[in-house]
Amino acid sequence: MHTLGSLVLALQVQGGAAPVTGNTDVIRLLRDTGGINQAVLLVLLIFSISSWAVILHKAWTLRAAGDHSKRFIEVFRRSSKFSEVQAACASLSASPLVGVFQSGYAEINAQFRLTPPATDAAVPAGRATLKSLAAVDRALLRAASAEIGKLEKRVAFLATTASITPFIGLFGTVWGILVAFNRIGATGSTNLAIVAPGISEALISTAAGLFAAIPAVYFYNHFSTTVKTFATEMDDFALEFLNIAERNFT
Amino acid sequence: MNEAATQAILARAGAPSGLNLTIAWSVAAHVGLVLFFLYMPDSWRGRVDEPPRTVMTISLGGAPGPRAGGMTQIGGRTVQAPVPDQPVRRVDAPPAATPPAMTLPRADARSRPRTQPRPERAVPNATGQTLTTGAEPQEGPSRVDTRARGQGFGLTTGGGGGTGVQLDVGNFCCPEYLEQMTALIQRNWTSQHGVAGTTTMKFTITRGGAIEQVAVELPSGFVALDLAAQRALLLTRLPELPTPFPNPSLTIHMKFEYSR
Repeated sequence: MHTLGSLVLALQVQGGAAPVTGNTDVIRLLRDTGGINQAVLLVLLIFSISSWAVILHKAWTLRAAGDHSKRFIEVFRRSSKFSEVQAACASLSASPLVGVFQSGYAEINAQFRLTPPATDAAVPAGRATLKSLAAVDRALLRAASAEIGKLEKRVAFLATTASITPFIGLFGTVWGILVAFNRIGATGSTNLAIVAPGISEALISTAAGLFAAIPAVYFYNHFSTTVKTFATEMDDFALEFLNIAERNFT
Repeated sequence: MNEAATQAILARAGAPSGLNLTIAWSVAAHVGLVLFFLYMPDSWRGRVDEPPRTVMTISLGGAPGPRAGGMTQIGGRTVQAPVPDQPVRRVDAPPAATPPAMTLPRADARSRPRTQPRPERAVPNATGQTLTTGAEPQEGPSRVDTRARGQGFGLTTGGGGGTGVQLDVGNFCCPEYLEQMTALIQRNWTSQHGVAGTTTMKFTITRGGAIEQVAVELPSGFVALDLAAQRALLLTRLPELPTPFPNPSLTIHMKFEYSR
């Protein structure tokens, strides 16, 4: 009869298999990455914060501009006098059409102030006439250009962010891989446990660059399209304004 | 000189943009995002919570019963190398015998008998076999050397031979090291102490092979059994950890089972 015995071994790999929380994991990755990579990550963070600030600002601005434009068009087409429209402009100032209207309205008023009442028999007595409709057209055109510039303000920063942040991240990755290969050479081992952490740290920069670039690309295209739509609306409104001015003041 | 339309354009251009507020919102959003990444559950980032532990069951001796020959596995037998080509040996043919000279037949020569001699007994297998009435041959208990050497891991004995080793190895890189470790510890340990019990020990093997941090993880209830297991570990000298194993140390939980 032989003696019976049994041994149960439970291997527990030190370090690697120990349960590690995700919190410690991310902090360790950020801490172990080199100084250059940390600087790259800081730059990318600043770009991301700035681009998201612009995104939020432009989204809020363009949305308000769209809402106010709809209401302004309703007011404009419902009113029988420019003075009534002018009174409503204060509450609809986010609309670019308000700027176009105010510019044209100011030009008409200026011409009325400089021009004496008409003495022509064909014109009813007391009715003011425009001296130059082309001047009104130019005023509308200038205002439309100014409004487009205002709408497009800082949108170009999104294009800049979308263009350069992937390259900044790539630079950080290349630098991190250089450092990782140096470590591999110093260690003299090609074990995956030694190679993988360095590459993982290096790839954080690329991920951060893409994280900043992807929303910037999307919202740049979205905002550009929206601004083009507003430009078309302003051109249409300017023509409508000119028609009304020509019909009533010439 | 200032134009009326210019005044209107400039008045609208000077309106506050509100960008500072969105910068504050953006900073807050990024801080929240970083905190989210730091504290989100591990399962959300696709992490496997804990790798499956490698558990090995080692049975020394096996169940009591008739000796059936012990280990019978042949998986460990080395593959024979192909036999190298043997050089062809050329044998020189001996010189042909000289043919006898031609002679004339003799007239008084005796002729050979034409008939074959009759056989004195029947040739074997020419007649039916006589049935035997003795005991039938049976397999004996003697062990036959099959020239097969077991690898010690991965297979189990058939029928609980009593001398075999039953091992069930997981995905640890170097089962040979565990086999060697078990054998070395077993040299310094005996399972017979008069009482039955189980002691679970925990210890750490350093890269150099030293056994450190020996501790009783689950006592058996008998101090003598715990001390015997501890003594077996402290007396054992192990070789260095295998090179394919990348970690600096190896922690093992070992259960010593004692019988009467």
